[in-house]
Amino acid sequence: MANQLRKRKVMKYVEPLLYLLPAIIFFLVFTYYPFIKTFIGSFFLVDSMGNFKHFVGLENFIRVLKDSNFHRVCKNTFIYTILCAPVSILIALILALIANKPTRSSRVYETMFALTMAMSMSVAAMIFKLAYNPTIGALNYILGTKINWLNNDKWAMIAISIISTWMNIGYNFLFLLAAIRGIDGSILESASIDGAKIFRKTVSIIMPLISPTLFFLVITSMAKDMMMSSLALIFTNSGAIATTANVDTMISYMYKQAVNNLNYNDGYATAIIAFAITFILMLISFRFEKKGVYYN
Amino acid sequence: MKQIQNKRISRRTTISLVHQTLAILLGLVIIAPIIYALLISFMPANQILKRPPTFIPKKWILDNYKMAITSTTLGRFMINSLIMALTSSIMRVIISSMAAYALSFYKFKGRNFIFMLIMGTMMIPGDVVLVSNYQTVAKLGLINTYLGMMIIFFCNATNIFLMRQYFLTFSLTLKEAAVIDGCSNLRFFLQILMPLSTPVITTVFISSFISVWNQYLWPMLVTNENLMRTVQVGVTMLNFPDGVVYGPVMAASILVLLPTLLVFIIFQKRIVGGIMGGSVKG
Repeated sequence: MANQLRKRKVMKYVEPLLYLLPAIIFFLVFTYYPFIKTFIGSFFLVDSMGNFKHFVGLENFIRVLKDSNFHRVCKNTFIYTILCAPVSILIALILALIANKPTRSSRVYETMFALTMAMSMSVAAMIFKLAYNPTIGALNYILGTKINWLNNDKWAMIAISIISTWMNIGYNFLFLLAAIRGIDGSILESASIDGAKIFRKTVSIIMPLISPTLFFLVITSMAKDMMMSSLALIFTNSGAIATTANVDTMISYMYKQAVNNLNYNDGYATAIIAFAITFILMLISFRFEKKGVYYN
Repeated sequence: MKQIQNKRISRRTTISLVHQTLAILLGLVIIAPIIYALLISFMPANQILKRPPTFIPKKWILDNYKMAITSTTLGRFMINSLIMALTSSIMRVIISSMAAYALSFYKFKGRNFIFMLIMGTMMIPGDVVLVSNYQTVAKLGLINTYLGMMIIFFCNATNIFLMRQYFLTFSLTLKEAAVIDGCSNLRFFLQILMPLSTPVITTVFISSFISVWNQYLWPMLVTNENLMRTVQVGVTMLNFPDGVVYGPVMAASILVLLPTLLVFIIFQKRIVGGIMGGSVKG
């Protein structure tokens, strides 16, 4: 009897852990272990097989931070992040304001506004590769320009940012639409009785009310953009962009150092530096949050 | 009086009609790159290479699609991606629902710690641990295998959080009542809780499917045999004879895009509910 009771007591503790076991093992093996390994590895000399040789302190970090290639990829990553997040959120905000009022056909245009969410980086890259073609592509024809988008030092990073900006419209739109529709209708009505013009209404009433969502989108976009690598790798691997230094980002640089050159020293250190820069940016943003974001 | 009212209503419907038309036109501008790819995919090669570029095919042909399917291994890429996306999504539903069940229906020591441990993984981007994960998978001998391609997508903290939020809306008494009736904990989970949670399961499954189908970097890293490539990697490496490159590539892009596009349009409401972290109930 006592034995059975004890067994039941043990089961009561063990049972929930059994349900959690797969998830815990997964996160330990594929998130925490590699993160700790990357962190420790960045302080070691690592051979091309990935074995840790001996402790070198901050040597890896110093070498990477002094490397002009790394300065270049940092600059590229910042340009990309600064271009993508605001433009995409602004376009999505305008779309959300337009789609705010439900109409008979709203399902049609809401779907179209959100559709870029289903796009993948590689398909978008293939489509824009044709659109960017200097002679037969659509973009130069529509804009009346003669830009060699992908193989011009000045335009290559902008060209990549345009793709990503476009792809993020759908995601940002859905969040902003939900936020705007969540605003208490009576607030907007009382404003229109006051005769507030649409623009003023947007800036002085809607913007503060959706500022938590805007802040969330800025933070998540920034975190995502700082870690971008796919577009840079797709275009440089396929040879569509010849000067890789024009578009390589921190993570694509890490990838190339570790995977192509088997230089894990630079690879690990770059990964940790990229993580640290992003983390610091987040902290700064959260300090700004206290000033600029209104919570009810 | 009535006339004025009628006039007002008709004026309002006109404004609404103009607004809707403009919104749809704007929608077409937003998806213009997709329409562009669609038009080019039906265009004969010599028209694509013409300058200045034209956008409406003079003759609508299927040659590009035939070429994309027959002269490449796109079909095999599709099957690989399908296996990867389906298995990962099923695993995500299983693993995250189990974890969410323990986190919402059990009280035990260390529950909050485990919850924080799981949520903490959101702070660590997958790209930062990419190289180390590659070494782990290589050591396990999983290079060029399906398991290696999808293993890092088997679990996701956001999904666990979403399911936990949903499970928390059920009262604990539901489980207590079932247990008093002689229902075991496992049976309650499988036969009562899961059937009641189909909305959140669909959300997790569909959003996982789209995100895994669209993965590029990891599948590229762990495969180097052509036959093991996924569509996302394959579509960037298609080789066609010079002069007919763009047509078949656009056709292939449309074929790769089609599954996620359809899934998105059909399940839009569910996916929207999913990305908003359960704040919108489906």
